[in-house]
Amino acid sequence: MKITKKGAIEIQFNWIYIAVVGVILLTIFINIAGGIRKGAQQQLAIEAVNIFDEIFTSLQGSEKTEHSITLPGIELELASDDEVCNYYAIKDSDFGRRSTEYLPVFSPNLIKKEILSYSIGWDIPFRTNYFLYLTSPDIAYVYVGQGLDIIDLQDNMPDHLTKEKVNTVPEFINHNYYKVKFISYSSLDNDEVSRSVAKLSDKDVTGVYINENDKSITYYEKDSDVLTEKSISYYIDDATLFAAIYSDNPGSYECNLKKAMLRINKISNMLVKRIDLITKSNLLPECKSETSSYNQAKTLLTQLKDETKTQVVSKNKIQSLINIKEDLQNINNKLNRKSCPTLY
Amino acid sequence: MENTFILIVIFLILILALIFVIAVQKSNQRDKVRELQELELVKKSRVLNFLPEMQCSDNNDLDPDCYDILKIEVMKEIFDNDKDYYPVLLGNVRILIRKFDPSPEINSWKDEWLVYDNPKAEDKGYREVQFPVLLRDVTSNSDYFGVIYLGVYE
Repeated sequence: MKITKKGAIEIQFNWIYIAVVGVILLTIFINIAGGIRKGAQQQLAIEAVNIFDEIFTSLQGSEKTEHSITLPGIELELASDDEVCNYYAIKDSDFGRRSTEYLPVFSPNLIKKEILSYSIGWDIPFRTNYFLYLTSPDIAYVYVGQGLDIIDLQDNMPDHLTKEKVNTVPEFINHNYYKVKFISYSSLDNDEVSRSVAKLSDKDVTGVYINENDKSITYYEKDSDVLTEKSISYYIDDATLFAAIYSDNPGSYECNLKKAMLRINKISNMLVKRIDLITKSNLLPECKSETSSYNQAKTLLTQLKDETKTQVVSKNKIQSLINIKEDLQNINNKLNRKSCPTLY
Repeated sequence: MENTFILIVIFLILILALIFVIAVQKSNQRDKVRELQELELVKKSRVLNFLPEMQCSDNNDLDPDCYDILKIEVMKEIFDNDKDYYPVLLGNVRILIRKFDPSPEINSWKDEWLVYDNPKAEDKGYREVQFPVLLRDVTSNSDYFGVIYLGVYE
């Protein structure tokens, strides 16, 4: 058996040939597999976002009902900056971003494991919006203090929240929560947090001090191991108070509240025009005599429309909205008692 | 020569497999698009439930199955003039409301309002759902049978 020189070269060439083709095939398969995997991830993100879109629409309608949605290996990211609070998306996915341009969603910027949702219709005094509140069971809401007010608030907020009750801020020990929110009816300024809480990043440890007298909310954020004041905002009623608590920061709260104010502006404009149609119609004599009430309401609604033209959340504006709300409620009750067409 | 022939056969099999996978994926995609369209229709029909702009309200007690005729008339005018807010909120839909008296069986309506119509620039089809509703005229304190024709542009 003698292998010729030509035969030996041919055998070597065959092996090189097979190796090159093998590498090419392997590269093609790896690329295809990678592409399919990437495509599947994108598809999951798009599908998840579409389903959330549908769920969020339904949730608005189920007022004061607690819902939970499990997040299977994905995290929901919500835009919650001062000027950008207009989308949600699956974290680390560039696809399937969904707009919430006009939907007031009050939530932390990141929801892990499970979405806990709650919704309340916002009346000022007429129904203007449905507030959607979202959070995660891995976020701790820590009620600080001993007064009846904090106990009432703890009871009034949805039961599915992870609620903890402490007398002072340092008492709270973090049990692996990724965000902690302290809620108190007294100032939290310079309150020291426990070592387990201090380990979290500063932005993930926040606090709110609710002042019922001037309807203000002071926001705090952890700085090293103490809570420091960030800014002050204002609330009107329970719906807006919950909104302030659910929101990650004052910017996010005000950004979403501005969406709600824009809707008030639109609806008050509609109600002004509706009053014109009512007063021009053939009303019963006892309702005709209520023309002054309708005119008064029209003035108040025009005032409301003007107040919400610029969606800045200030102390004066909030007080003005509260006053208009009460006055409109009184007129509406009066018209209702006389069986005349109500304002809303 | 043999090796080349084997490789050609392998490549042919791979190409056939690829064509099959692409065809299956395309079919799945078509189903998905159909599913999304259905979802969109359901979603848009729900949007109407969150439009206090048109719903009847008795001292703020909203009835999602009742629509206020005065609000409809006002909102029609507002929708016509609004180019920013409601088109984003409602999307590419068409809302037509018809008032029947005494019932739709007589096959004619007394009044109709094309409240909102925002078609897409490119016509790709249209799906419609109908909802029977109550239409209330608060000035004369009378109720009518109505139908909302909600169309979604695809």
